[in-house]
Amino acid sequence: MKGLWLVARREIVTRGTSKSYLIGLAASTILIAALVVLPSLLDSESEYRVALTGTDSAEMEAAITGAEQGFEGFTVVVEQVDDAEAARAVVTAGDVDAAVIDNETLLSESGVSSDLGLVLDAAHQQVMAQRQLADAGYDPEAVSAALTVEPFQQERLEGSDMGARSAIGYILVLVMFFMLMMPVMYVAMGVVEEKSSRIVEILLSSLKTWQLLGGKIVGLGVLGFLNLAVPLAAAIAAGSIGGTLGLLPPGIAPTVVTALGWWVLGFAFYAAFAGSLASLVSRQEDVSSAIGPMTMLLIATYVVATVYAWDPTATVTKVLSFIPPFSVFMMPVRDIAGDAPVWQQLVSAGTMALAVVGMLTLGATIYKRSVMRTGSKIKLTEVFRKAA
Amino acid sequence: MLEVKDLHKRFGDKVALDGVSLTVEPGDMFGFVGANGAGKTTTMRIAMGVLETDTGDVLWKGDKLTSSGRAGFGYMPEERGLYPKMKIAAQIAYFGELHGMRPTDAKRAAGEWLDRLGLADRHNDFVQDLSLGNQQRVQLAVALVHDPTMLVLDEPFSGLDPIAVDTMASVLQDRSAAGVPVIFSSHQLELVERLCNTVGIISDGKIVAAGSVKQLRAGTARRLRVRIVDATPGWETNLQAPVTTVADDEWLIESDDDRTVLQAATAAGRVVQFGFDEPSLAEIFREASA
Repeated sequence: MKGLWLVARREIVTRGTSKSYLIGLAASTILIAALVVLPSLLDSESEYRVALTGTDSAEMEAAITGAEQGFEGFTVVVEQVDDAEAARAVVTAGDVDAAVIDNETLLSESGVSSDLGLVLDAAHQQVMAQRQLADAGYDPEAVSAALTVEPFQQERLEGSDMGARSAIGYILVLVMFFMLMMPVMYVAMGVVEEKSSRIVEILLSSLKTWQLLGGKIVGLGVLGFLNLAVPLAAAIAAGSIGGTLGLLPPGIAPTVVTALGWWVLGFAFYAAFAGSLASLVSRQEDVSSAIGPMTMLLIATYVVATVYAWDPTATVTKVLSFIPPFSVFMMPVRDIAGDAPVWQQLVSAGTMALAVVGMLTLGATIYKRSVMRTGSKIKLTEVFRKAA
Repeated sequence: MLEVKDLHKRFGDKVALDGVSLTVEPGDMFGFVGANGAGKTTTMRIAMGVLETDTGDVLWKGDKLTSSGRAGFGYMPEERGLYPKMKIAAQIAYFGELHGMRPTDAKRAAGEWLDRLGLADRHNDFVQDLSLGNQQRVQLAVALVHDPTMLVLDEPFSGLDPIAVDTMASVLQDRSAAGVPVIFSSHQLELVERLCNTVGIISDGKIVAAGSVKQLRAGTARRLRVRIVDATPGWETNLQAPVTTVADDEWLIESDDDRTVLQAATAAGRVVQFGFDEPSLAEIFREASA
């Protein structure tokens, strides 16, 4: 185990302290946190200012304050000005968003936003109705009482957030795919780096092949995990500070943590696959063609997942969420949809873990038989024939 | 003591090793010579455990060599290799740790070797920024950092300038004097002759000669070198021995009978040079591999 840890530590130290890794990690963290916070910053203004002057100003102020309370997400601040001239001046100066003159004219730079318009319209109608009814001889108290109505009781139908859940599942699949692809490529490139620089011969004189391959997978896995977990943690932190987290369907944050576990299983599987295939070639330019079968499998599971992310309760989704390596993407999709009981997740994770062990064993065998052979690409059939 | 016993190895249809055996005693400097493809590298790779043998054994101090025994060995493969994008001091220390050293010891030993090999001011340089000769020095430091119990070096002198050759030779002699068995392969036979007390010659996967240079010389036919000024033409045809004409006035005669040859020579003309010829290792090698 000590050998494996030494190899892993070298990977973490040399790649983890490289400028490109640190800049990449910082950039993705800032970008994702910004994407989470930005909507709450850019969201339609949270405070409107309105100037009032002339007839009914006092009544309008009361009505506006009353109407504004029915809305979440913004407030309306009212101020009284001396006359129409003063009202024009503050609107032109941009000190206020709108001004109401004599409860007849709505003055603004270039129209008012729909939010503010709703509030002002409601206040205007209320004040005008009250005055016209009073003029017609009705008792002002009774009119006021009659005009006071209870707001709507809101009721949401269950399952109505499935669209949002599917979208989140889709984005998660996308993020997981890229966060698998990159570090897996690094494993493949690292294997070939050691082969092409011939250092593998010295390494293998004091290490076993499984230690060398395993250490590389563990080391680059730690870096890849941080690359995924740090921005996610930043996003959750930013979301809870900025308030956007509350807009997500309930129970999403824990599923993100579960998805990290699926990422670990997926990474171990694909990294062992990529590392063993990469050991068949001796030059960096041959890496991408050598790991073609791995890339194809990863892309296939990804494409299927992006399609069924929009249908997380379909039978196909359920079946595939138990089949490695499809389960890496499909189980998180079902989990986000709230359709994956814990026992199903555990069974599927256990099955995937078995697949990981199988792939590690197979990968270590391929790696062991081909890593010392340099020159042109070795055929897989050749590697296995050697066993006979 | 390292003992290689009856190694056989095939690559497909090609027989690489056909019963190779050799012994390197403590304090021995063993020179391993042979033509390209004769089996030197394969033998060393099997000894270092990077290649598996088909049959045969490698023994260390009388027991089968295990990976823990091998952890004490220092190895320089024929195909040099270092991490190009790793600082050299850190890289040497890393290999020290792979051989079981504690991190602080490994770091200290790496610094000492870099100082000794004249790279004191380059600890934090990347390997890819060093000249080829300096990369070779780092390679040697990698093989020596953990104070090895045995040294296996495949072509350690190839590609070195004369000064680096001297550095390498003195380091190896130093280790050998400390009682460490050293085996190295080389095509530079005069160097092997100068440094090694034991030589093994391999040809087509078989050891064809092994022993001290003196023993090997004793095994070859003795030759007399004769130079005669104004010799009677055809004088050598009357000798009862194989003769090679080296020049107009110089002959090599394969014979132990110096008296008879000298008499014939003095009769033929004025003898200016006469004596037994000491065959060089190169000549022994050519004869043994022929």
